[in-house]
Amino acid sequence: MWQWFHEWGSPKAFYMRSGKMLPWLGFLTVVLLSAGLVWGLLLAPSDYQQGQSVRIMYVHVPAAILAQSSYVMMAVAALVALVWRIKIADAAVQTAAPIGAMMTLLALATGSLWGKPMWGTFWIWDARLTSTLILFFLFVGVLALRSASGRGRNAGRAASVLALIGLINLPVIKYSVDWWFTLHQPASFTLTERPAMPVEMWAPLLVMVLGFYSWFAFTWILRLRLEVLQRESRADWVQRVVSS
Amino acid sequence: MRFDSLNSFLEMGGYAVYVFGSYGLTVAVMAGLVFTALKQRRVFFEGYRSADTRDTDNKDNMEKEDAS
Repeated sequence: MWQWFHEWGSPKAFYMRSGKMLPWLGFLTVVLLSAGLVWGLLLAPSDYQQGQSVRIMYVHVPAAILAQSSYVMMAVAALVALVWRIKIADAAVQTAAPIGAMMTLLALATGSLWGKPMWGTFWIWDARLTSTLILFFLFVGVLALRSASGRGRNAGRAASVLALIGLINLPVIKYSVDWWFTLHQPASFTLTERPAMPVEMWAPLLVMVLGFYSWFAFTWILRLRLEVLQRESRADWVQRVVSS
Repeated sequence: MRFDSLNSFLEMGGYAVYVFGSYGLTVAVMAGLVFTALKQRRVFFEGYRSADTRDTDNKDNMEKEDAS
C-alpha cells in the first residue's frame, strides 16, 4: 500500500504510467458515451407524463452525479495533499476544480432546460438547486485560492482546506429533496433500492453515468499530466519526454 | 427506435429546443474540456522546445540544481 502510494506520488512515475492508461480510457469513454447517446436519444422510451423531454435525464442526472462525485475526489486529493504533502495531490486538486465547476454548471443548465417545460420555470430558489449552485461556487473558490497561491512550498493549503470544509455541502445536496419541500424529484439511483423507473430507462442512464465517470478520469488525467510537466519542467525526464 | 420518422425525431414531441439544447451543451462542455487540455499541451510542448533551442547551456545548470 505505502509502496504503491509512494510510486504513484512520484511525478515521473505518474506521468509514464498514466500515459499507458490514457488511450484505453479514451476508447472506453467514446464507446460508453456514444452508446448512451444513441440509447438515450433514440431507443429509450418516452415518459407517460413528461413525453420526450424525459430524454434530458440521460445527460442531466450523470452531470449532477459527476459534479458531486468529482467534488469528493477533489476533497480526497486535498486531504492527501494536506496530510502527506504529496505534490501530485495538490496538482490533482488544482486540475479537478475547473472540470468539477463546468460539470456543476452543466447539471444546472440541463436542469434549467428540463425545468422550463416541466415546472414552468428555468430557476427557482429551491433547496436542491441552491445547494448545487453553492457547489459551483465552492469549485470556483478552490480554483481561485489555488491559482492565487502560486507554486511555493505551502501553496495550495488554503485551497485544500476549503475543499475539505465544502464537503459539508454534499449531504445538504443529497438530502435536500427529503429535508425541504421541493419541486425536484428524489434520487434516481440508490444502492439499496431498485430504481423507480423501468429497466429500459435506467439501463441507458447507467451507461451514461459510467461514460461520464470515464470521461472525467480521462480529462482529469490529461490535465494532471500537463500540470505535472509544467511543474517539473526543469527536470531531466521532462526534457526527454518533450524532445522525443 | 422510438421515432417513426426523422421529422418526429427532430420535433422531439415538442421539446426539441430543450432536449437538443441539453445534449448540445453536454457535448460542448465535455468535448471543450478535452480540446482545451490538448491545445494547452501543444502550446506547452512548442514553448518548451523553442526555449530549449535558445538556452541549452542555461538549462543544463538548472537540471543539476533540480536533480535532488
